[in-house]
Amino acid sequence: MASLARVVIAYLLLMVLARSAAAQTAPLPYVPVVTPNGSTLPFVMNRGVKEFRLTAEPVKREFAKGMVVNAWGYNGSTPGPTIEAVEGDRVRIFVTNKLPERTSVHWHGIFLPNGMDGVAGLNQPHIEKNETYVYEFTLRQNGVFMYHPHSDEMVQMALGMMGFFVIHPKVAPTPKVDRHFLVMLHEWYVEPGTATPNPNVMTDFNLFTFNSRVWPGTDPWVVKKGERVQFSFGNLSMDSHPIHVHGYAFEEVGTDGGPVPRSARRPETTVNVPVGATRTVEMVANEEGDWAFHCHKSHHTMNAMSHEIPNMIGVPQPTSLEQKVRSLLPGYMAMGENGMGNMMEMGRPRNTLPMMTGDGPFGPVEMGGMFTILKVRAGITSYADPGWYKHPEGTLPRNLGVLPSSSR
Amino acid sequence: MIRQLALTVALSLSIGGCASTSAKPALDEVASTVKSRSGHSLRKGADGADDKEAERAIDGLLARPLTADAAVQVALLLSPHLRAKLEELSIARADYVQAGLLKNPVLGIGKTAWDAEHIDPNLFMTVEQDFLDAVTIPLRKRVAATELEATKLSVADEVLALAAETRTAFYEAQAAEAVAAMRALVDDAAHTAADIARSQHGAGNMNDLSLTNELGLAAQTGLERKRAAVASAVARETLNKHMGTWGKRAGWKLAAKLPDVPPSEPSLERLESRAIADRLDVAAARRNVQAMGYTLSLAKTTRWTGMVSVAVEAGRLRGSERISFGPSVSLEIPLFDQRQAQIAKLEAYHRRAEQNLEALAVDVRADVRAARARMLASRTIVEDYAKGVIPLRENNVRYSQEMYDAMLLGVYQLIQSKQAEYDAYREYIEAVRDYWIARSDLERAVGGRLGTDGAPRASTAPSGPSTNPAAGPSAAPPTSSPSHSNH
Repeated sequence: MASLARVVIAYLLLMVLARSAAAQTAPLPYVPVVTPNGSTLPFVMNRGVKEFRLTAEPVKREFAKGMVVNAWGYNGSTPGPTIEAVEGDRVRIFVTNKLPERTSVHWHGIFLPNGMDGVAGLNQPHIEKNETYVYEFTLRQNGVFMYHPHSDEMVQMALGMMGFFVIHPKVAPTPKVDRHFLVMLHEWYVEPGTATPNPNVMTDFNLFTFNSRVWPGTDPWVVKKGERVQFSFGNLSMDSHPIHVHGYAFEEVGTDGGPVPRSARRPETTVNVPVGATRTVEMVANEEGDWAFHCHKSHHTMNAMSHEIPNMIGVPQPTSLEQKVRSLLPGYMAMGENGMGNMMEMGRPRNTLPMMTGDGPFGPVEMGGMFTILKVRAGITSYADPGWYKHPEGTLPRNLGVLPSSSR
Repeated sequence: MIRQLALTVALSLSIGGCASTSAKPALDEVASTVKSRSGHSLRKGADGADDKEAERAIDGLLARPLTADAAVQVALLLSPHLRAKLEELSIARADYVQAGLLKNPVLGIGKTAWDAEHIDPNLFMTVEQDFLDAVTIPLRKRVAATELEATKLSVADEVLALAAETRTAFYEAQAAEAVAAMRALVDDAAHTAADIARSQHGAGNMNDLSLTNELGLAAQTGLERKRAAVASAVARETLNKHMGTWGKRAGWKLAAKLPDVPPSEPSLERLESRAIADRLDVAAARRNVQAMGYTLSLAKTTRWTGMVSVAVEAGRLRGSERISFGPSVSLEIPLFDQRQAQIAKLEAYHRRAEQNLEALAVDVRADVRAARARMLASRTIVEDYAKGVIPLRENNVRYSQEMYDAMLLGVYQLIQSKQAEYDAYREYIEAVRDYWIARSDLERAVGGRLGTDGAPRASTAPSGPSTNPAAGPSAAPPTSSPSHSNH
């Protein structure tokens, strides 16, 4: 019975997919973007207008295995699905509000008639609960833009309501870009042991996400050796994020204001993504390996930690003292005297991730938050996770052990 | 005349009898009353006699970890307060014997002031005996017997009161010792935190202000620890006072844990009527009313007779050389004093005794209700601790440990949560103590043990409203009161 039901559901899904595919059978005039841990919003052509449907609603979002957050988002996810269109398109976007409060959508960075700008109260009435509004405008620019609420936006953005709006140029750029990753940067405060982000927090965040995921829940970004790659970072948090690539230098080729003139580009290893902006960088992936890609603010590559605990670095906690505490609290272990790395995985509150975690081929990676791996491989035929990089002979540091002092 | 006199003397002797002054029967009666009410024994040796068995029992009880029942038993066997109280039985017994004794005859020898012509030598002798005395002995004995009964009841009641006070002192001492232990644990925890803080400060990771805070907390808990320790020592001595223990015998150890609150209470219905029926002080007050009644009727009986004394005078007659007797009677003529003042006074005493009985009954009823309310409230408080506060505190420690393990909480907060748990245990101990003291007070108010299961002795009294608070159940006379109770 259940299996029959599964078959029926699978069939219906296939039909839906087939239909949406049918809507887009014509080869796309652009290389579709990739939203890691996210998706792209399908559209339907209706007499020359690209129709998109967005539903604003509460969502459950897994930040990494073992932690689910009560967020708000669009179409079942945070960030919402990426809207992808081409310069010159006329788009019609239906926005249905299934949130417990009213909302609106602002099309961040996009040139449009003032009444379509989405600032509730200023340019339009609020979209009340269960109402649907239709936005319609013609795209007159290209670049990487965003969409987010402009109605109780402090709460709605703190809970994860945001998404990308990509407008491809009419003429594909040269040289051709093979891979284009979109990464929404965000910060949250979820009290350890809880599941709901606290929108009242302004500065002391404890979770920092790439597309609402934290390491080790962030998918690797897989690239074939030699491909030209773009990374677009959007930031609707309350901090700037210096995003750093290992093993490469990239150039900033665009912002949410549009493309950067070639003459203004310069090589960087870190792009600082300011608040309320997007930054697009470009590089050619010609060096194989597993390259770290992360925010360079060290607290942003941690999962939930307390910023209030006593500083125990270098504080001697002799066994006798530890025993004394243990006589009161049998599970006690002295911690922090020699730093926080190499910590044993002990207890922690429910729905809370370890502060730093994740294993690589050589041991614990001791990271969290805005961290992932750019995996560059020669000769791959799919972008599935290729596993750990196998280092050629002579390309790893050698351990010389403990040297006698005379040889130093 | 001689025959009459002989008869009188014989009668008097038979009435006076040679009643024993031993208080042993009274003591045995009190002992059996106490046994049935509290389950504890008194010394067998009366009149201060040495009681080897009791001494052995005391030492045996004190050698084991002390329980409430053991402490009460020691007090009943050993307390000088109690033994002083028991002497009242001997005193009342002696009063009873006294009431049955005739006044001794008065012998007079005299010489006439002039040469009497009919006696030679002019000496004469008289024997005088108060005659009314002989007639009123039964009445006086009835008063004294009733007073002896009242004394037995009130002494037994005092024994039960001492038992209740000892029980309270025991729970106070036991709880104080446990509280002191908890305070010590809190203090140990605070000193551990202070040690860690010193280490943190020494390493350059903590400022003077924060260190002062930690050290200050430990200093405070140290004071609480000392206060709790002295309170425990004082509570121990209060119990020593009640038990009458000193010297080597004061070295007892307390059972470590306060007894658990019983899972259910016996039926607490009709406790008021049970108290009026069972309480020995109420029964003693009834006896006092009775004794005053008898005293009053004695006074009324002898109202018109006043003092009657019979005398015989003897002298040797000159003419016949033989001794001649001359009887005489002297009568008090109630001309001015017809005992009206004495009777009015006795009537007032009688009424006063009745009012005292009523006042006692009203107090007893209120005490029963108050103690019952306290006991039930203490029980719910204990349950709130056991089912609410304590598990919550234990969980708080568990979750704090989790947070500490994930480096989301510092060691100081972790230790504080443990201290809060110890404090909750301390409050729980105090709540259990309050329960047992309230229960002991209720037993004292009712006049017997409640038992932990089943109902107390069922009373067949109608539980309707009564205008006389001292009216006990009609069908359940207290076992210790004599059958000719006027109730």
